Amino acid sequence: MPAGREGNPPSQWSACGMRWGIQGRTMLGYIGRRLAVAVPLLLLISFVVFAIMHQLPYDVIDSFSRPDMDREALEALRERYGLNDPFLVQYGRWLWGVLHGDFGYSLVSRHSIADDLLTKIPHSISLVLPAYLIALVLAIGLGLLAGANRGRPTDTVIDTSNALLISMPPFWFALLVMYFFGHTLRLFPIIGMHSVGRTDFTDFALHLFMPCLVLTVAFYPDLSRYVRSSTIAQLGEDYVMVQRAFGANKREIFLSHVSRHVLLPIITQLGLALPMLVTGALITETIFAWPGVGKYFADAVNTFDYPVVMAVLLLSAALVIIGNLLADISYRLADPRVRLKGGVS
Amino acid sequence: MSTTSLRRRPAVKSKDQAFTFGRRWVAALLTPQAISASTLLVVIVGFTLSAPLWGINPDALDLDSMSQPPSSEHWFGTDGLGRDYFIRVLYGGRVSLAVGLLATLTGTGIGVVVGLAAGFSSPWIDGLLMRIVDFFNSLPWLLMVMVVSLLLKPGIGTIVICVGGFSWMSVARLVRAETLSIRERTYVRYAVYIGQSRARTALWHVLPDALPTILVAASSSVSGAMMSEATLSFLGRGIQPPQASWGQLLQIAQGSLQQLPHLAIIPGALIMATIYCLNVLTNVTRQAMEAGQ
Amino acid sequence: MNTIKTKIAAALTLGLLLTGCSANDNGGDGTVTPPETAATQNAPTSTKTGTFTYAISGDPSSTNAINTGDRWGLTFANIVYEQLARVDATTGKTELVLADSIDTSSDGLTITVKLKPGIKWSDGEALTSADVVFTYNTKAVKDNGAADALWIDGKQIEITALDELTVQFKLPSYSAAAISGIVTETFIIPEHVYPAGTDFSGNELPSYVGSNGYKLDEYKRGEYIKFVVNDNYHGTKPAIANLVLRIVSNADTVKAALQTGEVDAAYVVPAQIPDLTSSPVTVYPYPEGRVAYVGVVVPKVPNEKLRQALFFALDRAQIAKAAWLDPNNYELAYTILPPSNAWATTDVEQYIQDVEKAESLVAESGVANPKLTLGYSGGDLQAQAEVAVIQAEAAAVGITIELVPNDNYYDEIEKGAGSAIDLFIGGYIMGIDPDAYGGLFRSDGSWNYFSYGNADVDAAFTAGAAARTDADRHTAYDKVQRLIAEDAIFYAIADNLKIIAINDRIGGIDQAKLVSIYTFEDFGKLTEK
Repeated sequence: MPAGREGNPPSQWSACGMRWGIQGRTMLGYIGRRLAVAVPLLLLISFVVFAIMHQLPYDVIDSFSRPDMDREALEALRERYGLNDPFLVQYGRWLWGVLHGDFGYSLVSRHSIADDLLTKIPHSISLVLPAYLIALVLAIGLGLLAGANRGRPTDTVIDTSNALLISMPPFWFALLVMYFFGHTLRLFPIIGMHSVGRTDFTDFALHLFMPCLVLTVAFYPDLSRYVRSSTIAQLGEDYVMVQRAFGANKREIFLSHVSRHVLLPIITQLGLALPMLVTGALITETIFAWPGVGKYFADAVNTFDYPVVMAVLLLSAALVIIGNLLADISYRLADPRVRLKGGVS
Repeated sequence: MSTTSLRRRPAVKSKDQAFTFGRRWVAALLTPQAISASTLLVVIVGFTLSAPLWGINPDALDLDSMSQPPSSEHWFGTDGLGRDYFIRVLYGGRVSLAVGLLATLTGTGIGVVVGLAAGFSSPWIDGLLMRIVDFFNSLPWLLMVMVVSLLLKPGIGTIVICVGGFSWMSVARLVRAETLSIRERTYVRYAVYIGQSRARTALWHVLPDALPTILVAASSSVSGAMMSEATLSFLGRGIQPPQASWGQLLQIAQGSLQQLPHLAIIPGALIMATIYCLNVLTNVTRQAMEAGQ
Repeated sequence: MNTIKTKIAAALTLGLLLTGCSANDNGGDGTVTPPETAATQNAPTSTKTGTFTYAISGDPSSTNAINTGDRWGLTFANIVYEQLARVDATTGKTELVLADSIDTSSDGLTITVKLKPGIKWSDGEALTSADVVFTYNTKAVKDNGAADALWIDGKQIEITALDELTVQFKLPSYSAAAISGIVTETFIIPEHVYPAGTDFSGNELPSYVGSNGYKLDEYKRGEYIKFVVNDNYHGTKPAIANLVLRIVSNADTVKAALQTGEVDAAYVVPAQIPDLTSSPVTVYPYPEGRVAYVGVVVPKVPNEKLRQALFFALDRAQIAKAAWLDPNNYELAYTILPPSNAWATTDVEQYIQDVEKAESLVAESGVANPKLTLGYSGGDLQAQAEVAVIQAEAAAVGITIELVPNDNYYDEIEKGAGSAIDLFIGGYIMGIDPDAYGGLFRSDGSWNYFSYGNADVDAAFTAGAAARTDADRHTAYDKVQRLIAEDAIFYAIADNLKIIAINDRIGGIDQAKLVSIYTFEDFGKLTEK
C-alpha cells in the first residue's frame, strides 16, 4: 500500500473510503467521503446507546418522580413523556433532544446532565491538555534522540525506560505519587482543583501538579515508542542515504528531513487523542478528586446513575469518531505528497 | 502426489515452518534481557500457582490482628480484616493471570475467526466484518467496559467477556491482512482450485502460516488484558471481595496507604513486573517472526 | 526554520494560555497571589483565615428544609434555619430556640408557642407566627414527604396564628410524643420568599433565606457549600466569618486534607485515627444514639426461616469489631432502639450467634443453596468491613451473599419488591422518643425501607403514642421491639460513636456542642484560636 511506508495508515479508516469504492481526487471529495462514513457510524452508535438505555431498569421519569407516587400519576407521566410510544419514535425523540443539547437528567442529583457536562468538560481539558502536550514534547525529543542513536547506550536507556513505564499501572503510580508528594513531603494539596474560595492560578497550579505528573507519565511512553520506531524506519529510507552521499551531517538530516517525516503522523495522533481530552483521565480524576468528566462518569457508575453513564458514553464515542475524522483530514492537508499527488487514499 | 492426499493432510510446509520458527524463537530468547525477563516471569507464575500448597486460608478473618505490619508469622503482614496478605497476593496473582489468559483466549479467538472469515470470504462479507470492526473501534474502551459491567454482575466471567469482547479488533485486522497475503500463495490457490472447502483450507493451510502473527498478537494481548483487569478491579467493577486479584488488592490498599504502603506497593510492583516480562517475551516472538520474513 | 516545530510550539503556548484561562470559573483573569511557598500554604498556621472548612462526604440529598432527612441535608438546614425548640438526642432536654415559651394545656391537646420578639430573617424581614404556620402547614401536606409527625390517627394537627408572635397547635387526640414530634427537625422557613404554587415536594427550593447565624452564600454542586455571617441574626454573631462545607467523597482524600490542614474538620473512621496522631488534629468521639443494622427488604426475602437462619449465623460482636476496631468506639445493640435509650429492652430474641441453629433453619426453610444480595456504599470503609464479616459468617452456614456496592442503594431498596437488593447495611438516628421510630417500621411510614407491614406493630406504635402513663408506654414499645425481632426483618449491630477530627486551631468546640446528625448544634460558636 502506498501509504504504508510511513508506518501505519493515518487511521484505521483510510481504507474505509476505498471499500465503498467512492473515487475522487479532490480535497472536498475526500472530506465528503470521510463524512459519508463518519455520519452513519455516529448514528449507529447513538442507536446502540439508546437501545442499551431502553433495556436498562430505569425510566426518564425516575429523575423526577417519587417511588410512592400513586399509579395513575405515574401512568400519566409515562404518557406525557411518550414512554409508551414505539421504540423508533422514542429513539427519534431522544436523538432530536440530544442534537439540541438535551442529555436528560441525572437520577441521583436530578440535575441537567448537559449543564453538568458544560462545567466539567473544561475541568478535564485543563488537566489533560497540559499533560498531553508535555508528554508529546518529551516523546518527540527523546524519541528522535533514541532513534538517532539506535543501539547505543542513549537508545537503550530511553527504550528500556519506555518499556518499564508502559508496564506500570498508572493508578499505582498515582498512589505512589500521592504518598510521596502528598503524605510524606506534604508539598502539594491532593483534593480537587482549587482550595475553597480561591480562583488564582498559583493555587490551581499546585493542585494541578500531581495529577498532571501522573497523566504525563501515562501518555509519554506510547508516544515515545511511536516516535522512536518512526525515526528508525525513516533512517532506513533512500533519501537519507542520498543526503549522506551529498555530505550532509547527521544534525542537518535530522532537523530538515527526518523530523518532518516523523512528526507528520503525530498530527493524526493528536486527532485520535481528542476523546482523551474529555474522558482520558478517568482514573486520575477519581484518585485526585478532580471535578472532571472522568470522575463524573465513575461516580455515576458507582451510583448506578444510568442517564449520566450513557450520556458520557455517547459523547465519548462521538469524539472518537470526530477525532478520527479530523486526524484523517488534517493528515491529508498536512502531507504535501498526498495533497499534491492527489492519490487514492 | 495425489489430489486426495492434499485433502487429508495439512501442507508439509507448515511443519517445517513451525520448527524453524521455534528455532528462531529460542535464538531470539537467548539474550540477557530476555532470559532474565523469562526467569522472573517463571518465578512469579510459579509462586502464584503454588498458592494452595502453603496451607494458609486467604479468606480467614482474624479480627484480633488487623492491619499488622510484616512479621515472621505474616510475611506481608495482614490486611484490614486480619487476613494474611502474603497468601492473598499469591491467590490474587492466580486470578489476575487466569483472567488475563482467558480474556486473551477469548479476544484472540474471536479475532482469528473474524480475521480469517474476512480475509478469505467474498468482498461483501469482508466489507461487512470490517465495518463491524470499525464500529467496535469507535467505542471508548474503558467507558464501554464499565457500562457492560453495570449490566452484568461483576466477576471473573464478566471481566473476561468485557476485556475479550473489546480487544479482538486488532487481532482481526492483523489476521485479515495475513490471510489476504497468504491466500495468494500457490498451494493455497491450488487447494481452492481443486475444490477443497474454504473453511477447511482456512483451517489447514492459512491458519498455520498465520500462526506467528497470531502468537505475537496474543502475547501482547495478555499483558493488555492483565492491565485491563487491574484497572477494572481498581475502579471497583472487576473482581469482587472476598476474592482477591492484584488490581483489587490495590483498590483496598488505598485506605491504608499512609500506615501500610507495602499493601499497595507489592501488588502494583507485581503487576508491573509481570507485564514487563510479558512484553519482553512478546518482543522476542516478534523478532522471531520478523526474522523469518 | 522547521514549520512543524513552530506549529507545535504555538500549540503548546496556546495550550498553556488556555489552561490559565479555564482555571477561573468566575471569569476574569486569574490574579496571582502574593508569593507564598507551598509549605506555608499547607501547614496549619496560627494566623486566622476567617473560614472554617468542614469536609462532608457528599451533596445533601435534599436541601428542602420541609422534607430533608439525610445527614447533610439536615446539617445544611440546621446551619441556615432554626427550630422552635431543640430536643437533645441523648439527654432529652428541651431547649428553646425561636420560641420564648411553650405551654401545653392540661388535657394535652393544645400547645401554645410564643415566639421571641425582634427576630429577623437574613433578608431583613421580621419572623412572625405567619411563617411558623406556613412552615407547618406545608410540612403537613402528605405529598411533600415528611408529614408523619403532624398526623395523628388520620387527622392533621391544626396550626393557627393567634397573633403576630403566638402560634397554637391543636391535636385531634392525645399524643405523648407530640412535643418532640412537633418541634424537632421542623426548621421554620419564611413565607414571604416563596410565591404561591411553589413545589415543596422536591429536593430543592428556589431560594434559601433563614434566620440562623449563617446564611447561604454559594452552593457549587459536588464541590462546596459556602455560608457567610447573617447580619440580621438575633443572637450572638458567629466569630468565624465564613463557613464552608467542602464535599469530598473519598475517605483517603479527607484524611490527607486533615493532615495538610486543607480542611479544619471531618468525620473519620477508627481505622484512620493512627494516621492522624502526628498531625495538629484532635479526635473527638461522641455518642449519637445511632443504630447500625442489617436490614431486609421483606418482599425480596419472604421466607421467615431463611431470615432467622441468617440472623443466627451472624455475630454482632465480630461485625462491630471489624468495623469500629476498639470496643470503646461502640456499644452492641439488640433492638431497633439504641442501647442507651431509656425505652430499649433486652427482652427480645437477640439472635446471639448459634451456627448449628442457623444451619438447621436453613434446612427447614426449604431453600436449596440460598443466595442473597447485600447492598452497601462501596466508598464507606466501615461498611466494607461489616459486609466482609457478614459474608464470611453467612457462608459458614451455607448462605451465599453477593455484595452489591452501590453508593446510591437507598433508591434501589425503596423499590420494594422490584429492588435488585435483598439485604442492606443501614444506620439511623431517630432521637429519644420511640414514636419517631414509627416512621421506619409502620406500614405507612415515610422511611420504611424494609417494605415491612405488620398490623400488630402499627397498633402497638399507636398505643404507645396515645398512652398516658410511662408504664403503658413501656408496655407498648416493648411489644414493638419484640414483634419486630420475631419477624427477623432487622438485625441490630451496635451504636457506634461518631468520631470527628478537628484541627487544633479551632476553638469553642464545647460551646458549639457536638450533637448527633447536625455535627455542631451551633456552628456560630466556633472560634479560631
